Amino acid sequence: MTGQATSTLGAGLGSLFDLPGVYGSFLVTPAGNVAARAIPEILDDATLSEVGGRIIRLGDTFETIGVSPDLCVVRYAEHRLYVKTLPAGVLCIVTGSEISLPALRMAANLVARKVAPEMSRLASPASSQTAVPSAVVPRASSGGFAVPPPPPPPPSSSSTATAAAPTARMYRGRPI
Amino acid sequence: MASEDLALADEPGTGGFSARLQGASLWDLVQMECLARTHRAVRVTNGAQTGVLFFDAGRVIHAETALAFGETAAMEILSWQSGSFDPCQSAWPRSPTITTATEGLLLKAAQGRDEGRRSSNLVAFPGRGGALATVNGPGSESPLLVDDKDWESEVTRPAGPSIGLGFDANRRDSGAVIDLPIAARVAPNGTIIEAVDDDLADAVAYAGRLAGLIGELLGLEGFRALECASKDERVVIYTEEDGGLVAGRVPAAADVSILRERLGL
Repeated sequence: MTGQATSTLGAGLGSLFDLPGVYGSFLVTPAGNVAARAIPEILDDATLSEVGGRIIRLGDTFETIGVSPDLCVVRYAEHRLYVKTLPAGVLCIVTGSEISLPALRMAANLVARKVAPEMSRLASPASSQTAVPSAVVPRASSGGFAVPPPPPPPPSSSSTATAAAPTARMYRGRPI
Repeated sequence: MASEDLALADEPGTGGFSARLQGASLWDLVQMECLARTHRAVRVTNGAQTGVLFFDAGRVIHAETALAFGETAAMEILSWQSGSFDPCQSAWPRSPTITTATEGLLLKAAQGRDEGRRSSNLVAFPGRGGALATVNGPGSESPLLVDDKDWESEVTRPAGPSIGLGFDANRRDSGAVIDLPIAARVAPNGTIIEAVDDDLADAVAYAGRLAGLIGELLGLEGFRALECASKDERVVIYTEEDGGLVAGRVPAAADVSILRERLGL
């Protein structure tokens, strides 16, 4: 992932903090990896990755019953998790329970529009082949936005098809 | 009914005492049945309204009225202020439709009465799977969609697609009602209580589990509800008091604002 990508994704997520009640947000690739985050450090990358995988599976679950989710709102006792499906990945926003949903919808739409191209690029097989750890912008030690390193390359790089496999999965015409 | 004239009698031919009580509340009688852990159906009449409560092992496991069944019907019956209470022979449900403990039912009924939101706990009874969510604005006299054949056949229906259950958590002071056609109901232990199809019930159970796990990881406790919207429809899942899951599907165009408000979505 390039520094420009980091900037694009990070700037997009950062704009969500304009809304009172937004605790944080993160972007998840179709493979379940966290592409960018703007959420307190108390949630480490490993935890977010677990969350990302489950969010993707949640979407897959609804796909099995014929519902192709565009938006999912999960209500907890004192919080909401707002999950918006992007062309390639999902945008997740953690909020308090009193947030203005119309404002959040609009903000999420704007963020989605801004980050969608970069997310699509990240999800493309070509991107996965060129994305190497050295291209990752180091995560800030505190605050700000952090981009975790991409998943390790496949064990065997002898075959291009094999290397592209993790991001080449398609479901109903969309990469997952 | 000006004077309360409630009757309690044991089933014919089973011995014991029969009683005629005046001034007893229906809630007292329900609690007596539960304490006695009887297995029987009791017809409750309130003027022209009639309902049946099914007791088993100290719980109310099923209820029917002319317009609803399950917990919705139980709440309707428990809202009645006077009438009669007689054991009856009625077709036993194939499976329990009420999972809430009797105490919980009574508490809900008491809350409904205290709030004085409505003169009746009647709620809409949606049609068989796929019924649209509808909102009846203030002033609508009868928000009820009734298909007698449907509810009558439900109790003894053969295995197959289930009918939606009424959802009574959507009334506001205005009296507006929205129907959530319940497509699946899953008990906390995973037992499928009602389901339009098993795949849906499986999906609901798994989605509920995932939502809980996601919340735990993010430090968000107390999964309550979930709304998943596609271009064509919405799936709403919410947790019941006992931890069970209920899900309904409505068209995307349906106005579910009241439902969202109640569920905090």
